[in-house]
Amino acid sequence: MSHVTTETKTTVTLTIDGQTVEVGTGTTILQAARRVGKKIPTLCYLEKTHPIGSCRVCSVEVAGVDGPVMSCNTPAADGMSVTTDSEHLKEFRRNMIQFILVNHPLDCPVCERSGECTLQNLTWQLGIQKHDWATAAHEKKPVVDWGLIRYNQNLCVMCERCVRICNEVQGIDAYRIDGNGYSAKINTKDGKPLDCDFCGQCISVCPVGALSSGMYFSGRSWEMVRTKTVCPHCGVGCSFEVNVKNGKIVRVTSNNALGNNKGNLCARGRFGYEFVQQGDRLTAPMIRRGHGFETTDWDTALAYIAEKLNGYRAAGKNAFAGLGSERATNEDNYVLQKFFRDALGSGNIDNLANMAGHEAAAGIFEQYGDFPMALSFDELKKGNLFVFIGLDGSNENPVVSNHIREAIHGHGAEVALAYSKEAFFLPTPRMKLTYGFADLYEFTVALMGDLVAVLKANGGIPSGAAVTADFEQRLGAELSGARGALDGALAAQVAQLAALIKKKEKPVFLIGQEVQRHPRAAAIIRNIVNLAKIAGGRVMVMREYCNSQGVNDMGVAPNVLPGYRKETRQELTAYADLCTLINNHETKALIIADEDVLRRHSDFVKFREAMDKVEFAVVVDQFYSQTAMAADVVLPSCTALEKDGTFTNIEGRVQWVQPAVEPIGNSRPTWRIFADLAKAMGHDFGYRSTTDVSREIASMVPGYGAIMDGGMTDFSARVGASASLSMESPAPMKKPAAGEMMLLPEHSLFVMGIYTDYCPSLRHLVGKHYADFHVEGKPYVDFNPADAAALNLQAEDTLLFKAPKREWKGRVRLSETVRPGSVRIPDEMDQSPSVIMTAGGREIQCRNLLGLMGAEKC
Amino acid sequence: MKVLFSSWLDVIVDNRGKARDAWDDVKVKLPETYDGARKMTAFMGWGGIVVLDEPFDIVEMAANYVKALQKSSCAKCFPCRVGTKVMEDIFARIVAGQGTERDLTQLEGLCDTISRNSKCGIGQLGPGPIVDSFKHFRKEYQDYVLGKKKGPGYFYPNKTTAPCTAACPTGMDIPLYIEQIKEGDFAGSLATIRQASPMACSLGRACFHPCENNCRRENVERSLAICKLKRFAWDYEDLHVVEKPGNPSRHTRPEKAAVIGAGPAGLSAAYYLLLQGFPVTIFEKLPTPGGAAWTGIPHYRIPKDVMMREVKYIEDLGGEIKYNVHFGKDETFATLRAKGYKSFFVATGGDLSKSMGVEGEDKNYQGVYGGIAALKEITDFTTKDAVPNPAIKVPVLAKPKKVLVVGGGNTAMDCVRSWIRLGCDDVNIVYRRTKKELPADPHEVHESEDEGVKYNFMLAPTKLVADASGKVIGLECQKMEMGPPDESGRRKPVPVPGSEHVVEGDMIISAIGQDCDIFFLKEVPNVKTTKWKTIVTNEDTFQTDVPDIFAGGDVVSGPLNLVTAVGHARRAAQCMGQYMRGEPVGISDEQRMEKIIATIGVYDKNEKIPVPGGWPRQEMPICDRQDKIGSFKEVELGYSLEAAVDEASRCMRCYVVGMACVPEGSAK
Repeated sequence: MSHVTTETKTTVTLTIDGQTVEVGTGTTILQAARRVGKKIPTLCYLEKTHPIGSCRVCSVEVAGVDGPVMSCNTPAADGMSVTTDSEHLKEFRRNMIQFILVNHPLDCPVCERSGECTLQNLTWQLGIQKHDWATAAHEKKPVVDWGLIRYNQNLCVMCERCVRICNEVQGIDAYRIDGNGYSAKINTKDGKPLDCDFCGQCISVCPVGALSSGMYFSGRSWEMVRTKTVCPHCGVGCSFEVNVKNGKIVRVTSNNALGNNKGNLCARGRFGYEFVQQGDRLTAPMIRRGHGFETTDWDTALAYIAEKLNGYRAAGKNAFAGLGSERATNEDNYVLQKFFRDALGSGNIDNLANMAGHEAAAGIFEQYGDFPMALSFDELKKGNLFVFIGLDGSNENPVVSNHIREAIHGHGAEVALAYSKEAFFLPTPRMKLTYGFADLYEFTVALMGDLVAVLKANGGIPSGAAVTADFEQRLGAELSGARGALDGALAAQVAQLAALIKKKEKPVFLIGQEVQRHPRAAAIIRNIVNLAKIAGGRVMVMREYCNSQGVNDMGVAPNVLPGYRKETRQELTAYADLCTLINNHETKALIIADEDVLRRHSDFVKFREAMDKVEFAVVVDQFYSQTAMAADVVLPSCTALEKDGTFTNIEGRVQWVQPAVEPIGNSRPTWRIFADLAKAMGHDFGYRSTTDVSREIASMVPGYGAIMDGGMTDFSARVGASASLSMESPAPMKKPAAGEMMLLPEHSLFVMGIYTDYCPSLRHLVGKHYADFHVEGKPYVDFNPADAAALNLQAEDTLLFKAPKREWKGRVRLSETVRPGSVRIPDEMDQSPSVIMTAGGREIQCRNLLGLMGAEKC
Repeated sequence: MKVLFSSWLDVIVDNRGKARDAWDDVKVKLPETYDGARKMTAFMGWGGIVVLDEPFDIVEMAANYVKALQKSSCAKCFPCRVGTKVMEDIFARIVAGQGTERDLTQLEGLCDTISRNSKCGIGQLGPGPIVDSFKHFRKEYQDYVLGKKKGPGYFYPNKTTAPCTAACPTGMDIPLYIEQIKEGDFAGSLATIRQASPMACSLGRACFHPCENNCRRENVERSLAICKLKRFAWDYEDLHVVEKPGNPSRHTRPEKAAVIGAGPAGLSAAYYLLLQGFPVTIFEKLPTPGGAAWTGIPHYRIPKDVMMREVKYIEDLGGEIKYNVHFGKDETFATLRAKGYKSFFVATGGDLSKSMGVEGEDKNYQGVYGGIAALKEITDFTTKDAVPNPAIKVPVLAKPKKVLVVGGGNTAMDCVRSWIRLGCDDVNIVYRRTKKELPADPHEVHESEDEGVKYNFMLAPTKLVADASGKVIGLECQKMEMGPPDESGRRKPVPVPGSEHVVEGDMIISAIGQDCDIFFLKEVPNVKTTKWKTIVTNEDTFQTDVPDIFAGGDVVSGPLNLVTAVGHARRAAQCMGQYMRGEPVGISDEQRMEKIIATIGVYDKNEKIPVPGGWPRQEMPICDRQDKIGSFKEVELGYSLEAAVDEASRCMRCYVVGMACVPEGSAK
């Protein structure tokens, strides 16, 4: 009984096949057996989920127990004597497989799982030649309307792995067993066509060919060459294996032992590889001649550019402007900035992550001195309360949520969501708080005030953070105004959240895009860091792209050198803002590397104007993108799946990228393009391989030292945070006027810029049949039903979003999750309109408040 | 009883070929008829086969049994899902006269493989009676195989249940809700619980859990924490941002139903009536809901703010609660009928404390309380901040120097533990028997001892002693001793003559039981009552002899417990629905089978289960000791997610199928 305090034993000792084993309490027999190298066959067992126990193949004998015992779901107990193999057990295991083989189609020659099929392997391993059980077979039609997932019931063994992984690891819980007895099948929860995140985890765990991707699959397992590399999409930096047959990528696979993602992938990672070998890739350099482009060879193109650039050198540092890439490797970005600073003598270089989140970057730098805060996923998982702030967790960096779910199932961690609309997370979060975007700063202040209050009322600040009188006075000064900005219900929720943070003691605050792009990002981030310090918690800054972190670490930013050293050479210090620079100065040449800026820039028309203003624009790109179309010279670069180098993820981990396929056409790694260009301009950097660049980076950037040994960055070098709290009130921000709708971006899991456009599988998930939204037009824009009613809008109404000189059309969709007063528009649409025209000719004033390099800054 | 054949629990009694009066006895209890009219000639289930009488056809019954197994198979393990299907097909061949000897051999092999390897009771215990049939009815099978016989086409009603489910008065599908917790489907788990009871919050905290006394895991090492897992499912919904299931049928029926009493029975009945579409009004005497669960179960066991949310859900589904309506005075059957109420569920409970029958009880001494009244005052006082209610006059509780509580049941426990929490440091139980006979939950007794309650056993009160001002100052008691064994062999305590002495105490609470207050029935003389002042209803339908009046809970069973009341309500609501829709009022085949299964009993405490033990039950975390004394904070803190999932994983999912043979066919 609970009141008796007994000392709980932490280990048990048992014997397995005569061998004595000591394991922790709660260890299953199977895990204990594996620890001592005993191989018990399994079929339904999955390391990542609670044991299923459906296949009954992993049976063992336990002395004193009459009959087989399932090793996967029986905890080892003291004094147990286990036998893992015997004639009886072999017979039982054979019987279990024979049950499955009743009516299992012998389609192995045409089944895509052949060669890596657990059923095939067990049938062989257990020596099953024939069996004489039978029941009437009923051929079932394969399910083909489940998006990227295909289900063939005839092949299904009903092991439930897909159901379990979808529930426990993905949290989506899309599947269930439908029906009873022999006719049972796997179905969606609601019986409708599958509408999920299409992470494909279910395919990855299917032991047979029942679940497969709807993509064309032309290889057999033994024909593939597998290359381990890092996903080229978001900032999580998942590792996966690219499966290549005859030089063609046919699929992406993963396994539990691979990388920080432990085999988990999202739809982008698993299905988003088609862009690499699309027919639309650029294969040769092109020079603008008149109205069109002429393809040429590298030497000609480089010589042409070198000559042009040399010609502008006399105009000084402001003759040049450059843009690095969140998608290029550290090596690419490093050589680009070196090319600018050494060969061109200009520090006018930046990247969109820094430009979009300039305020954020300032906040981060301020708090963490030389280094952005870093937090490994292993550390993250130790948290027991995850507070998402401005983070749409299921659409931004989805695999981070897999780690969080591990903490939920492992030690009962909870999730609290704070977002500018009703956010979504599964399993069910503990709290959902919906703030007005304009009040995000006030929200964090109120939370800080409530947290300090609740801690002080209950024994003080446990973290030992210095809540000084000065800090409290500053906080107090902000507090009443901040609380006043929140409505009563939200204020009550904030108090509840503060109490929850106090109760849980180990919170992790996750900072999403919305915070980073907020006009008051610096102040907000400062507050969140304060919250973490006061509560004794941690912070993780989410990053949009695979190298959003690295591009900044490499010093692709004005006045910041690799490793965040300050630029001290007066002659190189640069303008802080690229658009201002181009507009105010006689910038002659603009060099854009691997960044589709005319698409990703929220005010792309303005950037286009800037681009048109310069005399000479060089674009390094992989596709004939909008940006490439506006260039004078286009140079083809290769994608991350065709080259080596390193990416730095949101943990601050530097990971090697390996080429899985040969570069397409004459495309080259970006670093090499700029090294060659430098050489053509008389600056030989002397790099013979990517590793030469990496080695130089390792010597220049603190924390990157370990990468050369194939290791990871030294986290300790990146966590140097000051213990003091600081707070300053930010500049006032424009808040929407009465009647004005606020435009806010809606992230989509499946959309990652131009890469998605050239991945037909992902594109189809968002209902895009062509590569460009601007061609097809009319994406959905989400309104709160109350707003829609007040504005007299119906679902599916067409709206015209107008900004000076440009406009786009959208279709109305109603959603209760949208906060009144705001309109959610796709992240990749132009965010700068100021007027929405309804079909009836009515004008609705609207405003974009995001602190992008948007209209008001450019 | 006498039966033709039985292999129940491996005790073989074979009276075939013997004269009926020479039949051997068998220790099995079964009704002789299926529904009071039609004969039941055989029963097949987890424990074997019982043949009560001719006619029966064991092969056809076995074929139907296997079919029922396959239908009940959850498809979550290979041998049961595929194996029972293979068996079903073979049986179909045999019954159609196309079987072979080889089929029988194969069936025997399948039975062995399936029962040894299956995941749960369906596959593990299901083949048992089939094996028995091969062993003892080989000739019948051979007749089929040789084409000499064909199935007569009898009726085989069956029911899938489990030992825990069969023991639960609500018939809750316990293995399913436990499995849903194990699988992380907490909302699904709660939905399963709600099919049997909307009171997961209260039951999960204060049920006396007969299920756990019928849990097969007890035979392995220790029963599952079924009750507290229910609480986990409810708390999970309560704590997280979950959209609670709505009521798509809300007020879709024109017939209004009235429920008298907002206690566990009343609230539950209202819930099931609402789900059937009937508008429901609950008339409650007090200003608070919950009945005995509110007034009688202290705040530290069921926090009333939490319970309020449980009640609010029933209101959200369309239920209306009218408080402070004293039925029989403010409203009557006649007035409500006039207002259009089409049927009544009387669930007024038992809230009159039984008198001790001692001298001075009629004198209204100050400081003397009935158990229920004492607890109600305490609850009103202790919940004044958590659930402020302007309709309640918060009592002033003067701390007594010494409390004497007479009685040893759970009400007595609640009284003493409450006064400990209210800061009284001399709290005593007076009980006329020994500790062994205390009817209270042993866990409660232990906790109370831990908290400092003193016990006076073998002591019976005889007289209340008061001072001149009419304030009670003590209780005169008599010592008891064990008398000679009576005819049943039990020794009863008898008073020791001359042992009278006064035990001091300035507060005396009599907690020896409650009576029901059914004065309002005078209006409807056709509703029968018992000599214990409870209402007589049909035991299946809870309908009284006045067709629109149904009753359930303590007012029918006499003061009992939460879960029994809730069980009554679920059935009564079903039958009220039938009545109001103009359908015949009665129970289904499955419910008939439930009764038959309850008669034979599912749980066998002597069963040896081939599962290695050593998987400890998850301990329930409890609040710090300082929170127990002088505070009404909830004692049990509830399972964490991982503890709940781990505890749920211990469940062996002991589903079993019971089947009856009714030669006269189904009643249609």
